[in-house]
Amino acid sequence: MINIRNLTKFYGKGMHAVHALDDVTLQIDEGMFGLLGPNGAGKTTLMRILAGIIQPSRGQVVINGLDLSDEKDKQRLKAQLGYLPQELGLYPDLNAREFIDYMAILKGMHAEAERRRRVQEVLDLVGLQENANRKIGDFSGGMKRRVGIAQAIVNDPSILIVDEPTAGLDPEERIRFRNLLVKMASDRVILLSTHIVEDIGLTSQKMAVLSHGSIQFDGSPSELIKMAEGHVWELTTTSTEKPDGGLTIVSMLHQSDGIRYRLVGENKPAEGSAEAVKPGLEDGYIWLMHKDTK
Amino acid sequence: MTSSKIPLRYAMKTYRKEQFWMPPAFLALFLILTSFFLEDGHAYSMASAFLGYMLPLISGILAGAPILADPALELHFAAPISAWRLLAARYGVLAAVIIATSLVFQGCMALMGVDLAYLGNFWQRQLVWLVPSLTMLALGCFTALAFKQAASGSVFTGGLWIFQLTLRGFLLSKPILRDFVLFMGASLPMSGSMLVENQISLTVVSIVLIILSAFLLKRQERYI
Repeated sequence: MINIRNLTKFYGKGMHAVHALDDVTLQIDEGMFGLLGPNGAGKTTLMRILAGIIQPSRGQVVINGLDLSDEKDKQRLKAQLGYLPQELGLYPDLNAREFIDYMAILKGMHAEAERRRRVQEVLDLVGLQENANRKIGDFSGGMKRRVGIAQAIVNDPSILIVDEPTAGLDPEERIRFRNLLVKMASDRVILLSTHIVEDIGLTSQKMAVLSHGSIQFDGSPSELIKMAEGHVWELTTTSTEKPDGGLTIVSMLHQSDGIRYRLVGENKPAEGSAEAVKPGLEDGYIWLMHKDTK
Repeated sequence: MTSSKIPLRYAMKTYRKEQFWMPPAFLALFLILTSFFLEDGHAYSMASAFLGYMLPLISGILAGAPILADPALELHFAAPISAWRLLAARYGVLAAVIIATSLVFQGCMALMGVDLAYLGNFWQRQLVWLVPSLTMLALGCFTALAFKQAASGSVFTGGLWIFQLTLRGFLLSKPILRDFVLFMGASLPMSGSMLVENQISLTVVSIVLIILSAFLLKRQERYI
């Protein structure tokens, strides 16, 4: 379990201080937890704090009873942590097996036979068994991501932190990756940070929305969807003018009878043909962000 | 939970390749240059130039990269590995490359019949290159970490090397300054207690810089 209390992180000092996180409080239980937010919301800063890489300016983080402000606890936590950073750096001259083996050693897996068995297991799990002895420098972006997730889970972590894991993956890879995460979430905490709403909707029972360093929402995806009820409309128009009135266009589709807009906003569009529709998770998120900017 | 160790084979394999070819390349160049002076009896000065001047410069130039140019630095920071172990693993490889280069060069000198007794006995000869190389390595590491840029280590150590080379005579004539001259072992190899003082001073500076580097590296967020 992850317990975050009043977490604040700012970079710089005095007048020039930039708040990356502002008084964030969250409780994350076992299972899959999605952290959603626009680029620059502070997600990566939060992930790095939880991974023990960045020191918070204020506040407390306790993970599985280990307090991150204590150096010994932090080292203990790192041994039971899996971390996939947003910008994954790999050694191009190592092959996939060597890289994962190296990361396993760094995480304290020193028994060689057990380590080799586990490395083979994760290579199979991410579908890299046939490319295990190929140099990483020859891998595609998707295969590199798979090496990334393999190194993150090689120590069978009780906490898995993945930061924007599906960015740059093709649809098939993304599905494969999401399924893998869901499969692993049954007996551990998985914290998935992303700006892709679909990834959260298809994987997470609990979620939070982070914007401008603050938690804007903390609950289940269905609760976020519920918040947008009565604020989502669809409208088909032949007019070339975009609908106005403070509405956010979620999507627009050119059809034979005109352009079909999906809109989110406080009030119903002025155009008469607009009809209220059932919101989805993306609508809920847009509604939350829409309110945030008002 | 103790901090994890980095096995030598992976410390080598994860090292940047260009760091391996630069010392042997200079070694080959100086072997050729030394061979030109074999007949006129001045080969020893070329040999001492390599050991006492070039090896410290190479150490300094290469010292910025081992940590900051590591592509998987963030993954290392997320692993239970202390700043000390990371420094030891990364700089241990560089030190090993420099030591191997020096020993190979001295072996070649012996085969070519170049007498290095000018630099003292075997152990004194090792201190002539080892002490300033360690100082430049520590300085390159510290400045790279302090300025959060691998190139800073190379620029700073390269600048210091040129500065000391240019003002060598002046620096050696001043009692306090000469304790910090990098090339004293090669310039005044038989200067007795003065050289010992110089080598002790440089070693102390190196140790202080390594300790400061470890403290800087503990502040991981500066480097990602």
